[in-house]
Amino acid sequence: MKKFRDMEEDTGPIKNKLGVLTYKTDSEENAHIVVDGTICETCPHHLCISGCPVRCFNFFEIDGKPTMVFQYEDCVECGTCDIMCDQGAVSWNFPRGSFGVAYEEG
Amino acid sequence: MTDFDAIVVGAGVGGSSAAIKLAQMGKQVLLLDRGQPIGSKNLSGGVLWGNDLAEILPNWQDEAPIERFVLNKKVGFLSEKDATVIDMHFNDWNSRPYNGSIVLRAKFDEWLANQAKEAGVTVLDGITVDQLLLEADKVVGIQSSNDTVKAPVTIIMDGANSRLTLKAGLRKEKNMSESKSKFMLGLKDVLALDHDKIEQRFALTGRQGVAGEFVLGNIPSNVKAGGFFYTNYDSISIGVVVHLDSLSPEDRTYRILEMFKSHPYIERLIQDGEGIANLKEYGAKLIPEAGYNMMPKLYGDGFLVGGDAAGFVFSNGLVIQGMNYAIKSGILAAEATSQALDKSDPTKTSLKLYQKLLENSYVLKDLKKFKDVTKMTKNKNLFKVYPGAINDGFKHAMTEKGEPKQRLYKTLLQSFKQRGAGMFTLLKDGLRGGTKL
Repeated sequence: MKKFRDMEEDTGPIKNKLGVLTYKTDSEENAHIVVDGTICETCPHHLCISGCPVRCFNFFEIDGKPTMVFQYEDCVECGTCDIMCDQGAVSWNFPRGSFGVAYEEG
Repeated sequence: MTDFDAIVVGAGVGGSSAAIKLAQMGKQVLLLDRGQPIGSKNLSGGVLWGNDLAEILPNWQDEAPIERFVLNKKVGFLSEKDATVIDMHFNDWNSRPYNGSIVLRAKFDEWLANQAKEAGVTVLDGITVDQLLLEADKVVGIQSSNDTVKAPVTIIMDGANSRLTLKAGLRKEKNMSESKSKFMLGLKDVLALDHDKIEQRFALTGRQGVAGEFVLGNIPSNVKAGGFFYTNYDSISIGVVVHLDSLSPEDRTYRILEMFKSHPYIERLIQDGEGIANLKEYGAKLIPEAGYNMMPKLYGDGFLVGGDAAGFVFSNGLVIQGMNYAIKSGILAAEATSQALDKSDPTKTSLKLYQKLLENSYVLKDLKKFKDVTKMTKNKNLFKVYPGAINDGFKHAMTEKGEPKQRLYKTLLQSFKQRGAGMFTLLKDGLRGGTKL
């Protein structure tokens, strides 16, 4: 199992693109997606990282322990992670009304 | 006691069309959307094909915020560095009713929801519908946080990522991870480019526009993806659609978009629009691709399902259409709802009419006829062999090498063979896939 497969990737280019987007971010306890990182520790593929168009998923080493860090704030609510995760780690809902990404072009 | 005759969940083009049609038939309608303003959650590649909206809004092509009308369509195969593109100019597309309207959904859908308001629909934005309201197994309305609203019929138009059909168990799959082979992800940049430059570059005048769609043979992994670009008035929508079941752990969907943009042929077309300073927007959206094979229950006691939520997308590898199917299904849902209301029978017995209307329209006729098209659109050779072979073949035939020339078919066959597709593979793919087109 390749554990830290995404650690060397420069995520700067994709994160820079998100700078042009407008978000109304809900508080963390109301995050619309919750990821159970303990399940990710043994995931054989981390296809969430492959699929997510805005790189909300990062599998980091924190204090010597591989840890899935999920940033709901950058989410564009496409639903891809809920499809790619077959391990049951992703609980997916739409944000509460008016919260989340707001496209101006679409 | 009900609050409205009908509730429509989701103000995309399908939901708003359903609401407008119902209002035009004298019904009291509530249209709900989670975006604020309406349109801010909506995204698509960019072309609304056809003229279905004329049935409810005869002058929509004059009044709606449309970026450009497609006059020129390009369909092509990209290999590592080369491109072979069929360039289509159909003169009829230059006049009303226009065949293809390039739109940006945040603006277009807000306008359409305003048309619903003007038609008498109660439109509420910023409302996420949590679930359907059930009484004795019948849908009697919706629930949003602590509020409930009741109506005899609820029309579910909550999009490709339809949580309502999922929660209510109307889909074939119990959870989304079972439907990896049924969805593509679309990712799109909107790049600022001055309208003069667009018109010069593509030889356009006024509101003429270009739609380009490509098979991507330039992605160095097992990914199956297509690319597209559409000229807006003063920007270009450029994106990719990725088959989710073709992704490997090493892939990144957002990198596939950058690989498409940096192909030498595409790079020329978006010149002066690339770079973060010109990025107006970036976004992504699921696209249901399995059509007929992924349809949820389309009707039942007190509800109907349409648009992307019902999987109403037509895709054959070179063409992806969803908005026209959504609009048509919305209008038909409104007709079935209206008749059921007039009979005071909002049960599946009356609402079954929706299925019948769909079957008699191009919506289900197309999806049924092309239900096996994924045999071709998911054929690995379409992405990994043919784009390279086509480009190699034409390149050899067109390049002057100062050597005796060979007949074109021989050159092409050789290229296919070199890329790994001999006569037998070609025949097999042709029979299996070509006839499904």
